[in-house]
Amino acid sequence: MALLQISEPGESPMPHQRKNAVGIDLGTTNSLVSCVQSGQPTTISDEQGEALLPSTVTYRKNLPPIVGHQALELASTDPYNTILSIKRLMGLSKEDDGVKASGYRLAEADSSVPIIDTVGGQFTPAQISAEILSALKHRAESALGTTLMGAVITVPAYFDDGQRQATKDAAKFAGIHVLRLLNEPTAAAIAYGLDQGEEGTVVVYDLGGGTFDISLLRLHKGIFEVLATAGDSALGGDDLDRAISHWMLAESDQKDEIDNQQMRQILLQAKSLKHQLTDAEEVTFKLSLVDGQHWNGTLNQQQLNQIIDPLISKTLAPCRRVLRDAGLTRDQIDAVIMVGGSTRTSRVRERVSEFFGKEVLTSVDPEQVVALGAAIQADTLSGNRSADDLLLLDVTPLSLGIETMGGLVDKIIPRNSTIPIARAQEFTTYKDGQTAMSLHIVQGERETVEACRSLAKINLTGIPPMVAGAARIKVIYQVDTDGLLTVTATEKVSGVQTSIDVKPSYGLDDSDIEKMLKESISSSQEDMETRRFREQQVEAERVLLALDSAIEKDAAVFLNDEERATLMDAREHLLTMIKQGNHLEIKKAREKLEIASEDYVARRMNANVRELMAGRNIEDVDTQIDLEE
Amino acid sequence: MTAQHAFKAILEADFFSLFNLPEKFDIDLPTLAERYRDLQKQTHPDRFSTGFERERLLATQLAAYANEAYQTLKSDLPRAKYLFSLKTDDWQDEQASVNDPALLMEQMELRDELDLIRSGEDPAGKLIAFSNKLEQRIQQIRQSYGDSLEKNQLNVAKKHLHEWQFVCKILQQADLLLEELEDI
Repeated sequence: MALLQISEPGESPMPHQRKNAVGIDLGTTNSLVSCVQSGQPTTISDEQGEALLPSTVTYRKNLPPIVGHQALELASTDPYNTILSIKRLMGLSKEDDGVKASGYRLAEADSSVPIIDTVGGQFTPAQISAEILSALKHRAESALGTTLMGAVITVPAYFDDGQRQATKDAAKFAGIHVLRLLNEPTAAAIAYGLDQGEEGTVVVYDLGGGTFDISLLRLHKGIFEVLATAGDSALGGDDLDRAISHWMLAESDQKDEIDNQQMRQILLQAKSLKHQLTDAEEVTFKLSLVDGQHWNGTLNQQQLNQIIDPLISKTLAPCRRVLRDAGLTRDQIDAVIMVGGSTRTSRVRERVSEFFGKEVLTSVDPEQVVALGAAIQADTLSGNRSADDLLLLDVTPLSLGIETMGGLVDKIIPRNSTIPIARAQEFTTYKDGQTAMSLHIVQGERETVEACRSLAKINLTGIPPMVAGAARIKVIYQVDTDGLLTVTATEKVSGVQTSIDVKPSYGLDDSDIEKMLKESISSSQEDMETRRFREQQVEAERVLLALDSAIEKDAAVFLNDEERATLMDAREHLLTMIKQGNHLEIKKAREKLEIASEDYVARRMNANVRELMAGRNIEDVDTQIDLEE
Repeated sequence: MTAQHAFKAILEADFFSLFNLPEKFDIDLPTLAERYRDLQKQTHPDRFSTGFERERLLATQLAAYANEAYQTLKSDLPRAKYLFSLKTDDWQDEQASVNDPALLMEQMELRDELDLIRSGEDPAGKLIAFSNKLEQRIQQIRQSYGDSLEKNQLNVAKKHLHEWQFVCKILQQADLLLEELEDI
């Protein structure tokens, strides 16, 4: 049969090349990119052979920014233009304490998002993170010799909706197609679990540079089911450094005002002392004082432990909470995986091990394990590895709710709900003839609105006038596989479409992003045309991939010769346009192919659903008649 | 049959049918978990990650429905409420509809006890004892609910559900208080 020819291996018009997708760990202190090569996840190093890219960006006047090691060297000499730990500011409001404490120059602007003022211009945290992502993207593309199909970018499990959205915005600025926002501890569990064929219940303790996560997972035949997660999105190695530097200043009896540059220097020194103490029992240091004098001090293991113990204790409360939420006790945990640079500190390992009553696992480099797991997931999502071998079921870290009377919160989706999830709630009007309604969407565990994080305010308008209590406004919360929330609202009684206006409380809306994108592109080497071309190319390749793998599987079942020929023509045309056309022509050809394949897609979905129905006692008259055909 | 029809039938199927389980309160939880995992393996959008956009959207809806169904059936109280709602339309979550002097008395006592713990000494230690007591009470209610449902005494079952719901709410408040004390 002619239809089968297409699936002959190696003979299809576009040979089955590996799809290049990477995993990116966008860390507070360091970032990494990795990919799967010959079945093994591997980190991609820079030309100097370094895998870790310091998450540091230095802006310059009339020159492109510097990212990484070189930027880090400028951290104390150029503190206002060198941005460290930008991840800690992602998704925060400019009023947030963390933003004020960051020490950067903030631009006066009427935006809710903080804007950092540098010699190179004014940037949002998402734009600064985009520089780090771009650097990793270029590294991967030159190492692999192709453009990337997409990336899995990791985020702390405890990141809220605003922080996740900001990360996705950063990828957009960097021109990266996001295959998935993946929770860091889950990524680490993949790297460990798949490696060692692990089965059972595991805990991932992830203490990074600026964030802390704890996740409890059940591993079963390739399914990674997260049972509960908790954490603190503003607690990490940076805080250990800060505690050490406060101790140094107190010891040296420093009373004068410290400026930003000196503080940076002391913080870097504190970090270095912490690192030295992973091997040494005692270290000496020389502190430069404000008056030009020096102060010599020593710090030993025991003192260090005393300084950081309160912070480690802060991580144990979330450990207790995940156990409680999952309904498990400590002795039911089979393994404890340590992740994040801060777990190199021996005191951290000691206390976590003591808490769970077992040796902790550190066999995979705690700074690379997240990126390695992300690479495996990217490999799966890009079709190189069968999804039957690996399926992740992750959860929402924080409850999603809505403001009700008296500033109280009604929870619609509770924390630790498996995603994707959708849940609806009905509301009604409280006044006769009311035509508008305001909905306030919040995230958090507390009972009052002020104690939760405000995500967005929705204004519903166009409700037809009715008596109080007659309207039925159905509000649907949907959380997708990236952990991102979408809210829709409709009035049910009249069937009238109500218009929705979502304003993120501390985020960028689409028009902001578009505007910033134009501005940033005009100042970078890459022009808008190239960028649009690449975006369309990636889009087109995704559709081709979908079509080719579908045809290989079941064209013979669902298409007759004529239909297949039409589809192949549209496919051929798209391939030609990818080689010869501009971005608009590619887009047109892709859309044409999508329309041409609509029937085929519908038939496949139909078959899929039938397969699901089979053997299930689901009552539906239509269905039963049809199934008997 | 169009895909829409069959699809709609699945999305409107009751949760027990979705997992091929008998419609009753005592279900085998390991079987539920296994069927849930099988269903996710078939419907999860990641299985269609290299597929067409429309397939992914459909898969997301199915996976969300399977998640909702699993969350509901795997825990006792949500399963109890769900099962009750299948049997009768006579169910509202509202506490206001409760008109049972004994239950109102129990509610008042438990609230008072929680308030005393909050303002007293060693709240964390007392909270744990308080929570244990509530857990035991829930086990009793669970048993009574199951029994009355078995005998098809819907009004009695409803009374137990209200009580159960209330005790769970107090338990949640106790947990929340414990979290606040631990400063998470």
